[in-house]
Amino acid sequence: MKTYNLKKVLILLSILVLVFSCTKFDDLVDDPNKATSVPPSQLLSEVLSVLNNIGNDGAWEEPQRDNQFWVISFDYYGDQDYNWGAASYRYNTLSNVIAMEKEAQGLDNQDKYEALAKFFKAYFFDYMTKRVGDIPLSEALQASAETPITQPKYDDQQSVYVAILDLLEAANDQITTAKAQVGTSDILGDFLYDGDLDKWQKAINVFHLRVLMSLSKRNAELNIASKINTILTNPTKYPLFSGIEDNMMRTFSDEQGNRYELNPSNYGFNRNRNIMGATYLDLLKTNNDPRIYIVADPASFYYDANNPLSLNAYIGAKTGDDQGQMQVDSDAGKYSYPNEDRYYSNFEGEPYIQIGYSEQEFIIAEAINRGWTSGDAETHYINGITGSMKFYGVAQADIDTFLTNTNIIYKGDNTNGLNQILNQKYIAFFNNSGFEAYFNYRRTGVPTFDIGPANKNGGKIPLRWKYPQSEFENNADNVNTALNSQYGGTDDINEAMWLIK
Amino acid sequence: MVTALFAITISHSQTTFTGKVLDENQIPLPGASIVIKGSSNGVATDFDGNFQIQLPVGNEILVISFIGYSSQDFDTLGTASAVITLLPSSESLNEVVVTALGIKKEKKRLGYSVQEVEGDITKARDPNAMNSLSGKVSGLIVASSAEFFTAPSLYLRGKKPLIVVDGVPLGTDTWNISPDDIESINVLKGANAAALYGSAGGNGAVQITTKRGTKNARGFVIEFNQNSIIQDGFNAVPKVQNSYGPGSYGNYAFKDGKGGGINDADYDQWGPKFDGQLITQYDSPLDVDGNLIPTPWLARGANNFDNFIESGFLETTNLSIASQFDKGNVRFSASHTYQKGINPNTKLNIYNFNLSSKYNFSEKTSIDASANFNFQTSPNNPNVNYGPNSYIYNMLIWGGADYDIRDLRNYWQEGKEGIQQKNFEYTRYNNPYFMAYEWLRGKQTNDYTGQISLNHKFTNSFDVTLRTNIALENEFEDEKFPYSMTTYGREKAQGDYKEWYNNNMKSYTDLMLNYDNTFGDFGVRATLGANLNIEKYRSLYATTDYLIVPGLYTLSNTQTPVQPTNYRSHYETQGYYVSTDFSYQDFLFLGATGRIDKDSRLPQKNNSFFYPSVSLSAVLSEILNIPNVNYLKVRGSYAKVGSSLDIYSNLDTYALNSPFTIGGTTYNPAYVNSILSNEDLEPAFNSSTEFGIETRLFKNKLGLDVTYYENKNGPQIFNLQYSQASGYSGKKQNGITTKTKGWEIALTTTPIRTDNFRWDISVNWSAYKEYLVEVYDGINNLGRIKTGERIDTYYINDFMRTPDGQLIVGNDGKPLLNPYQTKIGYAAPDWSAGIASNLTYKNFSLDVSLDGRYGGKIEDYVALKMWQSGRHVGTDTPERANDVQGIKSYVTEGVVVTGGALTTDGEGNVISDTRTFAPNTTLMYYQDYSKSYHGRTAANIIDKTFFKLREVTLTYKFPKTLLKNTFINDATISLLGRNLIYFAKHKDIDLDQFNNEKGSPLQSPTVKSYGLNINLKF
Repeated sequence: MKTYNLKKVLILLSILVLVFSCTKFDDLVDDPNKATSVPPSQLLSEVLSVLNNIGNDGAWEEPQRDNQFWVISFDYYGDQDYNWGAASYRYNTLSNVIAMEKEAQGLDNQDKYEALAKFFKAYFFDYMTKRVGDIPLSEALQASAETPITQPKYDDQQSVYVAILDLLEAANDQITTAKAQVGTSDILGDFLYDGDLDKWQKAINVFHLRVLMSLSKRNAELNIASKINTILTNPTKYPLFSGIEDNMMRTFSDEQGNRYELNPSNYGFNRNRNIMGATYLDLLKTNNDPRIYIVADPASFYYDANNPLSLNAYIGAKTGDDQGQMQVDSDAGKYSYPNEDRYYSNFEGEPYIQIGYSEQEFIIAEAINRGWTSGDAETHYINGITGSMKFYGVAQADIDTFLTNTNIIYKGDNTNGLNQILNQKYIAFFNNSGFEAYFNYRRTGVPTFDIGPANKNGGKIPLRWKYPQSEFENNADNVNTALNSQYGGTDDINEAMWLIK
Repeated sequence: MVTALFAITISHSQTTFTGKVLDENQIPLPGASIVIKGSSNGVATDFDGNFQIQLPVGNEILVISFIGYSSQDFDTLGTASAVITLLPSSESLNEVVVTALGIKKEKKRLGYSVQEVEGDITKARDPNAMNSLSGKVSGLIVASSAEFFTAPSLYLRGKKPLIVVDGVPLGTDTWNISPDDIESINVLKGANAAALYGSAGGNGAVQITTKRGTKNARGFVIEFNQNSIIQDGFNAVPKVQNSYGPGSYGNYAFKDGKGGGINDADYDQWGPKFDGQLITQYDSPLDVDGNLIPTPWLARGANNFDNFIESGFLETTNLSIASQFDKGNVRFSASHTYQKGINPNTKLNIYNFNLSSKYNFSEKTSIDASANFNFQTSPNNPNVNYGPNSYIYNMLIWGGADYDIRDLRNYWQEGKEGIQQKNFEYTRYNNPYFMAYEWLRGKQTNDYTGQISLNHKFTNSFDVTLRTNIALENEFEDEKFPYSMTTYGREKAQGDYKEWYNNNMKSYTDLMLNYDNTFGDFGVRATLGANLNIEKYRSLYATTDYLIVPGLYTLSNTQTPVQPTNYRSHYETQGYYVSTDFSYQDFLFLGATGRIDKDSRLPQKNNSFFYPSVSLSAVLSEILNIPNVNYLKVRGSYAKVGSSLDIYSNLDTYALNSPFTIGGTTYNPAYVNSILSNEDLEPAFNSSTEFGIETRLFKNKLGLDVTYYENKNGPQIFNLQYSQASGYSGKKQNGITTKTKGWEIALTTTPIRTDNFRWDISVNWSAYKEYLVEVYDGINNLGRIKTGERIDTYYINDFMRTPDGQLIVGNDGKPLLNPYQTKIGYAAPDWSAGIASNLTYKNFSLDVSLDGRYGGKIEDYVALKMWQSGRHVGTDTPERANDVQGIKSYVTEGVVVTGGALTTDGEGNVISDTRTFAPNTTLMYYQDYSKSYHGRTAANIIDKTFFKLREVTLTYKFPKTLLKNTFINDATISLLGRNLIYFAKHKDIDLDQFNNEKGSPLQSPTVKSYGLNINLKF
């Protein structure tokens, strides 16, 4: 009897044990929740969302304050004190670019993805180097190589730019090849151009022009003038934007993650704190620019209902002013706010231009003004202005009137003319193209940026950002070598890099 | 005379017996107890060991006893006096404790530290049983949460311990076990004690032993316990100013609460002073044109928070039936816990059913089984994190005293019921009552565990145990987010609905062969075991993206489709272990264990690993005779424990980013895992060395247990950081070794013990520090922390100061911050301690305990935010009164830079400093100063020191005589209090929940508990 019971129990227990007995370990290794391979389109979407980083670099964000387009009076939500910290690197995004190339290998549209990949590499290397100076390039992105490099050395900025320009040439060549291929699959995951290779090619070449012009002070070393001339004189090989419909831009709508930065839901957070910047608004005011009525509202304190278009009621806040007083004045209605109809009444706002037609035209105008290529600078200058006006929906009649303004009529291929080009380029950059307005200011000093008591950088507009703190923790020798060779060992934001010397 | 003679009057005395009680050294024993056998009559010895007792008959047998000594029966037949010598009890020193895997061992055999918490944890009850351990175990920090239905964090020697129930390390969410079912809790303090549990035991273990069947004369015991607690009276709550209302620089006027007025949306508390002046407000009446009519500006809501917070209530009822019979035992217990939280509309119900039974098939074979069913439901548990979801955020930080919370109890706007809340602002903030009753975050957990264990004795010295356990946890959570409620990222305010499902299955099976024998002076005990552990998990989450139909909480009622997400995991480990104990006489004990684990989470080529432990203990008092030393044991041990890595964390896979929709097309971005995998990865290892001494002195009146340990935590598995420029942030590697060095002291003493009166005190003290020892070949820093530094070194961006320490301010008068981080101290406490006192007089007993921690730094986040918002009680300054007049009057005490420059390298080290300074004279608004100085981390680093009067319990045990003619055998009633006094410098936050943390999230206010416990046994 006893043994019988024991047996029964043992059998019972054995059954229990068997029910939960082990699975083969081989079957437990892989993660059922994640993929080891994905279509390149998913990586493209990721890369584009970083390139088009509207959450940090978009409209009404900090870069647009540092560009002096707008000013925030509420110190809790930000400032414009130019006490810049470290820049963000984009190497992890470049890893996704490389993964996109890898995943596209062997596909019929491999050339398309590879052409874009070359552009992205150029884009992000430029993104980083123009912020900090020297960056790793030749040894970069090799953590997973056969012989891994985990602490890449820094390349001097000149060789970085040589590599960027090579990549842009190669991108244009490869996209030409890809376009010639028949019956290949479309590129997916592209929310900027929906896989339109013609537009991509144009954007690549406009970006190429942007990089070249940013090197204007290094014409001698890198032959910038002739490189620009090569592009401009061979439109078949280097097609460019033909109008604002070619703009590389992001559109917004009432969708999760795609709502315009300012909208009816956040009116209460921003209305009396987001103020038009005086640097920008005063440029519009001086020239009776019709865009002022589209982008800004008059200050209620100064508004005269009998003279609604009076520019006396369009008051921007100075970037350098103390925020406390600014808030008090704002509460008193003494400042112009972003136009309520345009920016707060819906979720679409305005598209965010990444690379635009106007910028292209102003670059061409500048190149002609500098005598680097032949052509009529005024035509391109006017194209640039008209392109921007059209973006804001200004009526043709108003554009025509504006173009007859003596301040606006092109003053010729001289410094005055150049300043006109650069001022209009600045205006066309309003709330778009990331830090481009600042980078152009840094290169040319146009327009004059405001500096005041709120400046926390010793009364200066900084010339660069610091290197990421993690480099001092994980790549200290190399980053310190780069600091020594460029800035006498300090990571000062007021030191000038090779690019702008 | 220290002790008095307590004699119970004998009704009719016939004989007087006198005696003297001596110890083994012939020294008198005061306070020894002399009781007539079979009765409750007795006396105690006086200071000289003498006693006198009346004997009713004359031939009674006396029972003479004293703590730590073997009690002795003395036959008085034929004698009227005697000298009685008591010998130290070996029995009381042969205390048996439960060690790893539930193996019971005599405590003196152990070469490592184990501390047991016995006694009633059910009286001064906390809804969570683990909180009852606070201060009671040296080396164990119970960081109890301020939040409703939130378990405390346990830190054993600074690390999270394994929680074991009845020898099975399947863990517990700590709510799925009823405190009434807990017999005892003991703590295995380090790897040395818990090595047999495998990887999970590397940081020690908290072992819970549940109750088993017992009986009384009637053959069964029915026990009823009822505990009722009221929670009220703040221990820690932020203090606010009620002089100024919402706004900025003294300006405020309500129009629509959406930015239409002056600072009437998303506002600070820097508004106008409450002077009764007329201002348009949220509840101002409308004139004929529909414009708001200004109303007097008064601090109507100075007591809003007090009015809003309710009294908490906790009620626990337990009924258990237990029996023991010759073939085994059985116990059934049913518990119900009901808790009403202090936040409105919060409650918790826990139903727990526990059945355990043992059946002896024969003298050699027995089966032991238990099952526990646990159901937890909480219809609403508010989110306390910083944000518009938090009551503190809405009422004490950013909300002001300009409205009376009681006016908002009816929270729907008339005519807009179900669509629009009524509130004092309509952009960032929510009506607290609306949140409490309409933003519902429910949780339901169904929990099942079962255990069956078979034991068969082949011989007296050889047996086998086979046992298997399964634990299933099904958790469901949902969140109803109503129309017009806003929180971060949901500013469109059109409602949402979310659901989460989590399912967890754990199974743990052991086969153990046990051998126990003695050969003359030598004893051998050995266990050979094998173990299989399986853990499966799956979860599902889905949400809407705003609701189409208000108030309809279904997933399909979504404005734009949202993809649900799910996750599953499955791993197994196989373990083989051996444990041996050798003893020589009752003096020397040697233990050794070894375990091999195979773990599916590790790379295949390194997924098996071995680790040993060895321990030695010597009871020196067995061979040495030291005066006043009754017991002396020294012990030492070394253990190593291997462990695995997080599941699926060593694979090169793509991760998916949140999908986004542009122009109707949804994009699904993917990105590469930025940490490279490593197929050569080895298991992580911890090793621990500890030494201890245990002694009992002065006739066992003083007990002391001192431990010193060094834990080498590593080489761990970590993400070796690469330069970002390499394309990856790093790679999985073996590396990072830290060393924890610590002391633990446990002291117990019985200063007074007489027959009717006894006072016991226990003190626990512990301290540890953890240092970074090694990182990786050629790398000597872990972020900011360099090798040799403490791992909890606290770095912040401090205020910029001159070399002689003066604050440097900018041209606007605002303090400047260093662009680089500097060290300001350490996060972990210097030491922690607890003291418990138990006084027993006749049928009364009084338990008091106090515990807390000393040292360590933390950022006081709520204070920081309140200095920014203007609600902090300290912001009510004379300069602030000038702000609202439009006058700048504050001058920051500090200097401005007048020339020169500070040059530093990339890490902030000074290269040159040629700066010149002049005193700051810039006048500024106090508001700007408060935000830019007090509103910074550097101004809000506080000391973590706190102590709490944790438990006070007064218990009365009804005398047997009173219960004689009732059906009740035992009855006790207790008055109790928990967390009665909170001692801390800053009482705006309760520091209890923090140990290593450097930042303090928002928390609910903490309150005191008072209650009544009734325990009846039938």
